[in-house]
Parts: sequence; C-alpha cells; structure tokens
Amino acid sequence: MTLTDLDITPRPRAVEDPLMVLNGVRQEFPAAGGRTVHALDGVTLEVQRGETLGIVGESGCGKSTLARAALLLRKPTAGEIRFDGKDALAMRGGRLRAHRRRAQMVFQDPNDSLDPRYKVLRSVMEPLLSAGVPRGEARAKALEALEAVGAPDGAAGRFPHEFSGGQRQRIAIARAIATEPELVVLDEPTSALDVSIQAQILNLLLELQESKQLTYMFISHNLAVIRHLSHRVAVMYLGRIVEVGPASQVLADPLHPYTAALLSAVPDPDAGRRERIILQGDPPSPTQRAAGCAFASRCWLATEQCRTEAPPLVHTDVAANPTGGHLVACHRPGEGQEALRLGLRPASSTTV
Amino acid sequence: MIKLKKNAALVAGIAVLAALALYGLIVPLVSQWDPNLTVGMRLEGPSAEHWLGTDHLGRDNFVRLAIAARYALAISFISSIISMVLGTAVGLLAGYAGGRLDNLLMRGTEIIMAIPAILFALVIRVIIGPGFVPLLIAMAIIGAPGFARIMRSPILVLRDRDFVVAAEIAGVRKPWIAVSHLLPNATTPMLVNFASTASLAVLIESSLSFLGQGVQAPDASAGRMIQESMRFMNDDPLLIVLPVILITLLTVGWNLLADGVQMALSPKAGNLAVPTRGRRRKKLPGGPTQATAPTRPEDATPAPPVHHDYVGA
Repeated sequence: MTLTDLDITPRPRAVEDPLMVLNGVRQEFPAAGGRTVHALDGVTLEVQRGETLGIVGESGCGKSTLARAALLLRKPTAGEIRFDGKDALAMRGGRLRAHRRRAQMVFQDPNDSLDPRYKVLRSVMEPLLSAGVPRGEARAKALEALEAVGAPDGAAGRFPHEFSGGQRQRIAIARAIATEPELVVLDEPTSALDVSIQAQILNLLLELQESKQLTYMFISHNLAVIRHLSHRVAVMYLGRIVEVGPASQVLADPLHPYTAALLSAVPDPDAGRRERIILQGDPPSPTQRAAGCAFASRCWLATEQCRTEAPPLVHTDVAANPTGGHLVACHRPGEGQEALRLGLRPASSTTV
Repeated sequence: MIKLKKNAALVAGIAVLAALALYGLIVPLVSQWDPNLTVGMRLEGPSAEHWLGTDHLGRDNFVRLAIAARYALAISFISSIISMVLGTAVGLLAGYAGGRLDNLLMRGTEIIMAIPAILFALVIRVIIGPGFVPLLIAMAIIGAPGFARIMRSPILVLRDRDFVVAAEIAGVRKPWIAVSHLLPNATTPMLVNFASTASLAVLIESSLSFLGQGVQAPDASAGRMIQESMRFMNDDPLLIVLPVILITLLTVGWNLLADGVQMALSPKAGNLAVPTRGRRRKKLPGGPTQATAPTRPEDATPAPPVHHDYVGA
C-alpha cells in the first residue's frame, strides 16, 4: 500500500461544536541580537468536537509551536485559548494539572517520546497517575489502552528499546489515549515510520477516533495523509493561518496561492506532465514580521496592496467556492489556482 | 552488566583501591603496634619487627601508613559523594529551570572554580576550624562545581526530548520530572567524574595535611608524613618514599577506575557526555540481548537489541 492509495474521498465536515478555540494567539521568542521570532503571528482557529483538523505547512512555519500552545505548554505572548468554553490560559496549578488529562499528544519520533529507562507500563501509567487516578485503577486502564492499540502481549513489562518503531508508536498512542482525553494532538505521528507501517498507524488512529470520540489536531506536511484523515484543513505559513476550510474544498479548490503551490508539489503518478509552481527563494526569516501578507515576498500574484496591507482571514465569496466555512487570508483569492487551471503559467512556474 | 575481562583499567583500578582499603582497615586492627606510640628506636630500617622501619619518633611505619591510607580513602570517597550530591542537585536545577536561576548558579560555580582549591580549603578551615568534618566540607565544596557543570549539559539536551515534554503534557510535577526522567538519563558522566574527583581529592588532602591544615597530629596522613620526614630525608629516604608511593597508588587507583567506568559505559569514546538524540542502536558489549519476536505483521522488523544502560535513546 502506498500513500497515493490513501487518496480517497475527503471526509465530510463535523457538526459545528468547538472543543477548542484559539483567538489571535501570538507566540514570540527572543532571538539573538535582541530580535524576536514571531513563531505564531496571531493564529485564530477553531477545533470542532469529533473532527480531525489537519494542519499543513512547511518546516518552521509554526506547526509544532501551535501544537505546544494548544497543549498549554507555554503561555502565549498574546491571545486567547478556550477549551470547552472555558478560558484555558487562566488555569493554574491543580486545575491545570486536572485539565492535562483532557488533551494529550502523540509525537513524531517514537524513539524519543518514551523514556528509555521506563518500562512501558510505567510510561503509559504516568499521565493517569499524575491525573490522580489510584494506582490499581491506573494499571488497569493502562493495560486496557495497550490492548486497544494492539501492543504485543507482555509489552507492559518491557523497555521501549525492545520494540520496533511501529510498536513504539502504538505504545505512545496508548499513553495518549489512556486518560480518555477529548483532544489528541498528533504531531507528524507517521513521518518517522516506514511507509508500510504508516498506513497501519493511520488506520489505528481512525479506529480510535471512532470508538473513543476523539478530536484530532493532525499536524503534517504530507498532504496525502492529511487528505486521508482530515475533515478540515488549516494551511500555515510563517506563523499565520493563510487558509482554513473543509478538506474537500481546500485541497481541491485552494483559494490561497500558497496552498495552490503546496498542492502542485504533491506527486501524482496519473497526471503525467503538468504545471508545478516552483516558489522562488526561502520563506523570509520569522524574525521580520511582514507589514503586509506574509507570503507576498514569494507570491507571483503579489501587488502593492499585498506588500503593505495584511489580508484578514475571511470568508470569500468567489463564485466557485461557496462559503461553507472556507476562510482565506488573501487579497487575490482563487487566482493562483485559476491560473493553473487555465494553463496560464505564472512567472515562476515550470512544467515537469 | 560490565564485561570485566576486556576492561583492564576497571579491574586494575578496583584491585588497587580494594587492596589499599583492606590494608588501611585490617593492618591497624591486627598489628601489635599502636600507630601513635613509640614502639622502637628512631629511624630504624626495615626488619622482621618493623616491616617498613620506624620514623623519627620510633613509630611503626607500616601501621602509620595504613592509617594514612584509611584517611585518604575515606576523605576522598566521602567528600566526592557529598560533592556529587551537591553538584548534581545544582546542575539539575540550573539545567532544567534555565533562565536567571541557571545564570546565577553557573556563575556561582565559576566563582568557586576560579579560587585555587588549596587556598579555598585553607579559608574554610580558618572559618570553621580544624578537624575531620571541616576538611570534608571544604573538599566537598571544591569538588561540587565540576559535578554541577557536567550534570547541566546533558540536562539541557534532555529537557527538550519528547519524553520529557510528554511528561509535562501528562501534568507530572516538574521536580518529579527532574528526578525520575532527567536524572536517571544523565548518570553515566557523573560516575566517571566521581572517580576523577576522588583522585583529585587525594592530592588536595595530602597537600593540606602537608601544610598542617588537614589531618591533625598525631594521626598519620601521607602529607603529614612527608612534611615530618623532610628533615630526615638524607638519613632515611624511605620515610619520604613510602607516603609518596601511597599517594601515587591512590591517585592511580581512582584514575584507573574513572577510565574503566568510562570504557564500560561507552564503547565509543566521546559519546558519554551528552545523550544523543535520535537513534543510537549500536549493540553495546555485554548488554541484555533478548530481542522480542515480532508479533504483528506490520512490525516485522524487530528493533535491534540495545543495552538499556545507555545514555541516549
């Protein structure tokens, strides 16, 4: 099974019932020379209960910072995070620890996410114990979670190094679901695994979502995987959400030129020769905040307005894309994809 | 766990130290001579009665040297243990807390390290007074900054590892994360440093005793024996040679142990200090090697067996 086989019909959108709302979240870090890295530059995002929200973007665009903000690991510089209707940033001490069991995470590298000196059972029990579950009950729940993810028999009493990458990732997933969380952040959960195992892990995640009504925030740069799993997709560029909407719309009819460029880079064995948008240069340094659109420096459609005025993330009323919760931050929405469709080569595209 | 056959340094180090410890513990108990009393003529040569001769006051050298070995071993061992506990705590706190506290603690260790060890010990001795305990305290403080610095650097790497972040997401309290996740994964460099600190402690103790500020008369110590015997160097060179050999054996013993531990814990030199991120899957010699049979078809590649007493993952 290859990943292109996963390219099935996008999943329909879940009912509107936000589990988590991020409002204008900014995360700034001090950098060398007194500069500031704007890792998150005003992110506004809703995660609906029971959905999978895919987050795509290239390396360094702030995906992982977003994940850490959603898990309340670091207080954002500015902005608001609401979880289940309550102000999540106001939580401290005991209340914050009590909240922890409701939001968990699966990491990219299963070699790194389990303490090499902890036996599997101890790792899986850890979040339960810190949530105040009595030891006996925690043990039972941990064993239950290990069984639910299909960990090998007798895994509980062994050390992580005794397992393969795929098995370790199953154990890491068991740890994340042991506390029966509502939100699970999946930070590239398959990209460190062999291709043959990726599909198995993705299917496990789908099964668990079904049986335990989990909400996923799925971070990936693999568009095929995102398409397979997500109800909705958010596209990030340089700490900003540039486009968000139902997976079927965003991935089929992108409104933002950056999304169009990303999609054109996905290899498609059936398409043969086709237009591919090659972006010029690297993304600008996150220490310099663009006055206008963050993408303007690499966008072949950029105008003077794009460089001076930041486009808000709004519904668009382009005829081809009825506004079913499809938001885009662009002054010229839809034009990038339209140009491709009409075969008009943008200045920076090549045929491959 | 550790293959002794291939680790000559470890075997030799343990043998030297164990022999000296036995010598120091047993000889004063079974010998007919009191180490602090005149039991023979002055400056006697080796004989059946006094195996290594007598000193300028007619005391038996063989027994006095045993007392000196006992003191040197006890002081180097105990002071290094205290240094390790202090330094580990400081390094753990500095590395995990980061920011200002890190800065403050690390500058503190640099201040201590900047003061010459002997001078520092003398100042502490002047403040607290003479005796065995003040000596231990002084030497413990001298050794602690080294441990703090060696502890801090792996912690800086470990604190960003995913399993530590996972524990934070799980809501584990930070002090417990430090003790249960960070500390166990950063122990190996500490063991090496323990042995080298002890070796240094032997030297500092003898220097202080030589200056009359270490072990107090009438108790024997290598440094004191050298100092007392200098006047008789030409008449009886053995009086100087014996304590010098003792000091040499002690420092060599500790250093061999340090080398041995280093070798035992890392087959490749140099990968001990900082836990590596990512996959280090080389099979280490002598580790538990039972690989588990793959039970699921998709997991058909079993992980290569890894010694689980290693630093990285």
